[in-house]
Amino acid sequence: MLRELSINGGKPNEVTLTRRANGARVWLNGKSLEAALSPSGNDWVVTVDGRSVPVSLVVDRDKVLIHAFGRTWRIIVEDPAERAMLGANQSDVAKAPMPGVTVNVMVAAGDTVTAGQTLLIIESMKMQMEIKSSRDGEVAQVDARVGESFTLGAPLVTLAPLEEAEA
Amino acid sequence: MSGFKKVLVANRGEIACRVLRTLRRLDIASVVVYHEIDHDSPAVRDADEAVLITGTPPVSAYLDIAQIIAAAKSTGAEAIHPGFGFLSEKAEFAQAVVDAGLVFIGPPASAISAMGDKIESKKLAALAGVTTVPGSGDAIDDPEEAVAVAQRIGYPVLLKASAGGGGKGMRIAHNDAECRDGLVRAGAEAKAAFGDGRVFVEKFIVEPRHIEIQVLADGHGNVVHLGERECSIQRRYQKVVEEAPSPFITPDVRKAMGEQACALARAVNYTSAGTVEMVVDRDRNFYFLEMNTRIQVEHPVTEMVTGVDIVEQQLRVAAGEALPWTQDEIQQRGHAIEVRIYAEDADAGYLPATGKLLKVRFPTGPHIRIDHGVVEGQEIGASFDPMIAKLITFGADRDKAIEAMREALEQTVVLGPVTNIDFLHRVVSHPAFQSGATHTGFLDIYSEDLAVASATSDQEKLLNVAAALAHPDFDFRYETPEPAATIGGWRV
Repeated sequence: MLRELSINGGKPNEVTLTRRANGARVWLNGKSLEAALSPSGNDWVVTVDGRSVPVSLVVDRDKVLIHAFGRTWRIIVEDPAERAMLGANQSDVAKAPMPGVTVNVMVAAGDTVTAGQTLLIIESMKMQMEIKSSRDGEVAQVDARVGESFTLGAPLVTLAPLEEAEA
Repeated sequence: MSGFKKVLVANRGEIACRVLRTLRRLDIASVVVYHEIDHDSPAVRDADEAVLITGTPPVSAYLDIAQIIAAAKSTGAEAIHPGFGFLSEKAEFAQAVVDAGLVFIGPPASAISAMGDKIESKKLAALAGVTTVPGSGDAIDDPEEAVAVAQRIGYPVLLKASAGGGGKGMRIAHNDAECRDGLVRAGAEAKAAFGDGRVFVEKFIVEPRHIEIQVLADGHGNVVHLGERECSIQRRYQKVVEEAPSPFITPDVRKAMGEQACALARAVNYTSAGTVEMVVDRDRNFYFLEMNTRIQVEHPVTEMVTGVDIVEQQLRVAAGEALPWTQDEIQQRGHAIEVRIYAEDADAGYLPATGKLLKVRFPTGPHIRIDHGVVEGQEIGASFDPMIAKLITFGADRDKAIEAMREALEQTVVLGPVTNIDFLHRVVSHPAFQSGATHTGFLDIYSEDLAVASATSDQEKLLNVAAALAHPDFDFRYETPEPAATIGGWRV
């Protein structure tokens, strides 16, 4: 069971492990480590090759959030095989760069747009921001509605997929 | 206390909890109003009574004057504390509370309106003998007129919406073209946000510090100030770190600022707690910015160094009591720092973050105060301000307060949405902050120094191992037999 772990968006590390009665043997980028994670009150203690450090942690789907060394760390656990299967054309969709509210929508389905053209204006954290088209194309769908709020990553405007010949 | 028997808090989150704490200490029964989205919140849990108010979006419930007054009436509350934000600076609300036969815990509606308009308040301040920043004086809607004013007072200039706040409707211009453009944009933003697109032009102060004076006034003509707070560490015109006293101003300047702030409070027949915000330039010239006619987010630092419970004084003044001290009796002792813990990604342009608070643990200690209104499991959404908590530390001097803050931040655990806790630690650890060389451009100037540091290889090892051992992807139905695992596949 190999997974790639990346800390705070850094480079991925290959990790695999074998559990044992009192801990585990962990292979980190091919290097073998004696390790254990033991409960301590409401928290944990992680031990690697005899060195122990107290940590607070929670697992949130593909993320492990850790408080250790006086800081917060976000570790993404990814299955390299699964990632390879993703790869749909994301640039067709203008997604919300932050949660906010739609202030103005300048385009409608069927409109022709050019790269850099403003599609809509959103407001978040009391600042207005223009969302621009990433490429030339035709608007297929507008999900943003003036006055309505959206979450981070929500699709706002979708362009029609490029023709085969152009793709 | 001989005053109120029951008070309604027309707010939510940490400030509601903060006001409730003082009510409890003074044996005053409490009522909060709450939107359904907050039904599990600590404020609802801490209050003696809670009344549901409705609205879509949720923020509109907390802005609904009729529902809030009805809640006070139905529960028999005699007075309403507005907290900050929401209705706290709406003169219409203060008046409606009084008209309903209740007491508004804050200044009279007339003082709120007088200070609510940036242009009017500046005129009043000038009349009261408060120094003001050179500027247009009146609102301007013609870009060419704005350019003429800008040329008269000299660039750079600030284009600032009359009704604006929190960075909305503000633009800096360094030349005529930017001035024309900024006037139009600031006006449009303010028009959209507040329905009032009036903009004025003023001198932009280089290397400005934001220093404000806390005033308290009663209904018997007594006005005192509790000294200053410096709030120069800001992002997008929003305060992030606040402290008292300021490491910059001298006793003489403090005295002069305090006297002017009190003069302004007297000029508008102010009562209750209020804050006169000033901008201070490199040479310690200070100019009036605005007066906030409510309790402020950063009030705890003043409480820590003066020992005054500002909410208690608001309650006593509202109940008709006189302030218990004269100006001479108010002393600042030690140093206090407050940081605002936000759900935001400071390393990605302060992008607001949302998500569930999966694990929360705040530090405790004799020099630590934490004001918050959150619980583990709570969702941090986009409906309200993304502030999770305020962390305040105290020290005999500034260095000790900073050291206490560094330790407290290291011990603060908030897992779930991205927060600015680590960023705050880097800010208070920065040499320029430690030496007191702060101004409102601090976060921009030192952005590179303040960038997140990556893990050391030792830390990386421990973190990867902890994550792997905790994550269910590594939970196997069949465990590798111990002997085979021990020898790593080799046969002996």
